[in-house]
Amino acid sequence: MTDEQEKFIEGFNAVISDCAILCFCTRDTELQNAACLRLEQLRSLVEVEKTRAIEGQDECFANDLLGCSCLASAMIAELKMWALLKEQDPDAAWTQLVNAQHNLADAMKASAGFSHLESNLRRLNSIEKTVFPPQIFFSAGLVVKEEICSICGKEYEDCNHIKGLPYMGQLCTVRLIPLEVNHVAVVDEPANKHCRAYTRGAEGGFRNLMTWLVGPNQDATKCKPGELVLQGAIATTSTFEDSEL
Amino acid sequence: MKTLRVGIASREGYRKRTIAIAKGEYVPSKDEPKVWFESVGTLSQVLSDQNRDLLRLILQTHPESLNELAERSGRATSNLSRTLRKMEQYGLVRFEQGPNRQLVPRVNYSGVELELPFQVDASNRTRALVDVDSQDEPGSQSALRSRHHSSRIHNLSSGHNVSTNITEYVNLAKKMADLGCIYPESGLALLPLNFESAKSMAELRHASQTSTIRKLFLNNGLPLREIVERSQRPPYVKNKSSALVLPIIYFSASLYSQNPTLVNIAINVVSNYVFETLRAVGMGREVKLEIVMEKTKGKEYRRISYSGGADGLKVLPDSIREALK
Repeated sequence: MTDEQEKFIEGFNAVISDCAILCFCTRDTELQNAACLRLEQLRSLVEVEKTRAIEGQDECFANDLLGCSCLASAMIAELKMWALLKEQDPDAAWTQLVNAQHNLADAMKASAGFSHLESNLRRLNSIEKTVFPPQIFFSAGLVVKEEICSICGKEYEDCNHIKGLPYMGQLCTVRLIPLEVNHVAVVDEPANKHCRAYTRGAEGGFRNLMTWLVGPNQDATKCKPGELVLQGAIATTSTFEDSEL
Repeated sequence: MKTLRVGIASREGYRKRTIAIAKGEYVPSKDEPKVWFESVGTLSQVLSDQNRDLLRLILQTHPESLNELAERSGRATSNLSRTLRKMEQYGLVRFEQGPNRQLVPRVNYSGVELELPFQVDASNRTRALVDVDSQDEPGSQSALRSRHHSSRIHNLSSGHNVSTNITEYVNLAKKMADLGCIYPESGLALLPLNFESAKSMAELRHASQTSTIRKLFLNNGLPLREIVERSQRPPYVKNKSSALVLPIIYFSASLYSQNPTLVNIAINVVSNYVFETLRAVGMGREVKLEIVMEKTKGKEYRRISYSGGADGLKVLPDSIREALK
């Protein structure tokens, strides 16, 4: 790293350390929201610096900056999670928790300098288990005909890129072109924790699996009390994307 | 220019040694290796013939940028960058900043000297020392650490029970002929997950990680054979549940008898891949892997079915020996 780059990273680390202090449920929501704005600005600066690194063909630094951007995103998501929990919106808070987990994992993939984030990931995993109730997850099994590389746009089989590895500030992912969906299953440990049940059938409507409150039927679906009619998300994006290394 | 003295040390051994040095409980002697590789397989990957050619090229031609080196070596810049970055982690190369923020690769040593005593690795040096669990430094866990600190050794236990079963496998040569596949007489191959039960080539389904493992094997110079033409490659099964299901790896009898080191390298490549994958998504995920060994050419085949955590994959070389008894 050059002196200039070291200085940038020092500045980045200072903001991250400041904001990390606010990553607790008891902290003031206004302070947490302000920290989110500060981190969003920091992320914009990181993107500008990353563009410079890419122009200079400095792949190592571009990848470090990709990790910085992911870490800032993870911290924003965690701060939002705490704020949303205090606003009694646990479904949205869960989405932010999973985003934080994904972003931390991406930061670790982006640069070896972030390998110590394992402890942060473990912390988020324990928040998942202790703050939130057990979830019912879905898993979709696909038969995939083709995978398209996000780095070069070629068929993944034929290119030199490896899923989950960083290339000039960008993580390699693949876009899946499915042949068929061959099963949907309820699983304990899904690959994607966004794919979960939100409600289940109950007397008078649907029970929210986060709040345990029963709300009225909002559509024509009818179910008997106790009957397992689950409403939830199986896929969270319109395209199937996979970045597993 | 000096030579670099390197040694072989298991992850655990290296961890204990580093902690002991940091605590002042162990003082390494001057002639001890400065750089440690996890296994002979890792060493031969990092210092493969191709990579040593690259180091020689840098020493001889002093390229002023990665692009210049790419042109001279005929290798893609992205591949070069990755290879050199790996070597940078081992202290073999360094990057200097050239004009227009270009990275200039430089080689630090004229060669390496391997210290490899029989039955002794770095873990033995420190085995008598106190075992200290690694602890995270409070207050510093969120920021980017300098690259000098990046070679942290991970020792996460998955908590999974390791299970390896050795069973008979279908006569691969005959099955290949029945399905219209190309029988790999030598080298190694990746088999579809349902190879044993499939009735036709159209039914075959590969594990979703097959393309990645194929690339990693080829990048490491392993003699990977294709069992079907490119246009006939089976589709992939993408199971979005937590277990990491890897393709079936087939080792021919000739590969194992003539060059067993390549078998170890292949396992090492898979093991590193699994470790890197799970490190970012959680070490709690289960790994499923099958290995098929050709015991007698064209006649007898053994299957080793592994399930467990990433840390248990180290048992596979022993299981292979057991399967071939």
